[in-house]
Amino acid sequence: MQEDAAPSSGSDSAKRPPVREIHDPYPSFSSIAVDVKHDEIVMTDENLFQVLVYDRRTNTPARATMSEPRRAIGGEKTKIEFQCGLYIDPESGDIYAVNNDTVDTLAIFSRNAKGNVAPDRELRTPHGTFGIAVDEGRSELFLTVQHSNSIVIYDKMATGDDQPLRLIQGSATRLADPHGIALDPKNKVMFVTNHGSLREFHIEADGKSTMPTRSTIAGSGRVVASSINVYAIDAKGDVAPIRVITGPNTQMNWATGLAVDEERGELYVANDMDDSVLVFRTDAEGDVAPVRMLKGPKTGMKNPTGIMVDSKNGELLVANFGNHSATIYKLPAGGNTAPLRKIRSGPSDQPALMIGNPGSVAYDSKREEILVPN
Amino acid sequence: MLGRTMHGIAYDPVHDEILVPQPFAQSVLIFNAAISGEQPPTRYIQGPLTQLSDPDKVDIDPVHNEIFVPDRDKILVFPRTANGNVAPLRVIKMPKEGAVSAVTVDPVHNVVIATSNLRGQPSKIMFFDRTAQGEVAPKGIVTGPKTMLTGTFGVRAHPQKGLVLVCMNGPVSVGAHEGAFVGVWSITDHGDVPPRWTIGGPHGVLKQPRGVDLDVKNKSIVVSDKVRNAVLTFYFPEIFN
Repeated sequence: MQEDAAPSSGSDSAKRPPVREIHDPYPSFSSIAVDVKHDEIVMTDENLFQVLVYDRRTNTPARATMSEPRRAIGGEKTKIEFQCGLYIDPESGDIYAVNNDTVDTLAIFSRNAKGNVAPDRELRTPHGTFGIAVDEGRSELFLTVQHSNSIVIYDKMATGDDQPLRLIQGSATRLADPHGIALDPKNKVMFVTNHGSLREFHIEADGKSTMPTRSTIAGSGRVVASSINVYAIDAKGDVAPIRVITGPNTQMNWATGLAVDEERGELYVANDMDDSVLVFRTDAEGDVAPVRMLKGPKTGMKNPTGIMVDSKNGELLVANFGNHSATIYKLPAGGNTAPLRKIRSGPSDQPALMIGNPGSVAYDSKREEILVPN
Repeated sequence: MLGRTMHGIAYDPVHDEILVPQPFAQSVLIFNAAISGEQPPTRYIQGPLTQLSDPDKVDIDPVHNEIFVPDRDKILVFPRTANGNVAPLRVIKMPKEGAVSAVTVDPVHNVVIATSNLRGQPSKIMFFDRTAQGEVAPKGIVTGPKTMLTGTFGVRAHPQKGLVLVCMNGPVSVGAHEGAFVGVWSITDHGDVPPRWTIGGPHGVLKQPRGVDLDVKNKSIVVSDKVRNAVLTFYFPEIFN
């Protein structure tokens, strides 16, 4: 052990303020849903840890700094942190908000919840949930789980420590960092986006547990192409997808949010790193090009992560994590098309910092730059 | 090859490279620090020989050209230039079924510093010889109530002064922890030793500090905070003078 390597004790410095803080003061929208019954748009804000509710017809004027939400849910009691998935009960308006990497709780709020309030219902979930979808006909709730390459299916009204009804996990599933999920109950299938990071897990042979294992096989990691995997809606266990959409023609680049337009038989994909929305036929398979793309400067999209089809009003809604906005388009959307409306949570000339759970930091002394992984 | 869930990063000032662990693909990615946009890594460590299971943090020893990766109950040490499916040079196994949550290396004093937060056990800072190998006892351990450690996340060595900075984020990762701070200890400390300085708390501006690094030229400390979802810079000349 080296001796006298350090100086002697210093003074109390706990209260010294920082000389600088890098922080985005505006909400950054990560997921989006519509309450068609009450004409409201609900969004999660991963930056300031909130769920925000807007009038569905909100359209932020070009000169306005932002639009104010009707209601905001946020604060320590809410258990809201990095909410990345959202579902609105079409009848009750209940808000289902999915936590990602830091809180293993699905928080469910009544429609009129506001402020720093505890969830009306909580479901303890596996670590790392991301996407959510609900099959109202079967009263089943689906969650993707990044950290264990799995999908868990609960009773929609599950609460507390209730266990999943079914689990999809294992090598055959080809799940690789799953994110978004959407259901097509008419054709009895589910769609799941995968970013492509893959590692194998020790799966119990008896298949009795419906909670995913996080016991990884060392050295099994690899990167595969982004994909959309299609499973039977009642799939369970280590089951292979029915179909997979993947390959360079698909133009997927961190495909994240998913939405099905049942009437047109189309699948909308929020393509985060390409600032685009891809549209596939719901029966697409393999290395196929999208039938349409929504992309270009007129769209106003930047890092789209959340997406929803509003069949009642004939609209496509996109949450843009990269520019403090949600953009709403007329269905069927495509091309370099301007949105019908835009909801901004910050000034139009200020890009979002996109800091999300800054787990570490490094200082680049050559360029005098701060490096932040998310 | 990056993911949307990464909790570690290190900058190599000698070779101008950035290192990032990617747990979902069990890899460590090494990038040229000058790049911008969607670019492939210069090198990456991944494959069955690596023993990588859950790489969440990383540090670099640019003097002895080694990469340190904490991984559950061990520290994996790779050559700096490792590329592909490469076995570690050394494995430091935590004693008595211990676990390691973060690691940093002091190449001046030849010390590896690791933190541990096993459930049901007090948090601790462990000091090993840089060249330690196998299951070895640390040559120093800082733990106990005077340390105020009820959890740790990121850790960074300050080799020029023989110090180590530890993010104390509290016992749970959810919500704010009013007792949070970045603590500074000497690498010669041993036992129930309070931090020589605390930054941003307890009961200060930090709520869940996760990462820390040093800006030596400007005598400053850079800290990332999960609950503030922000990066803060503190002027702190005491530990640089």
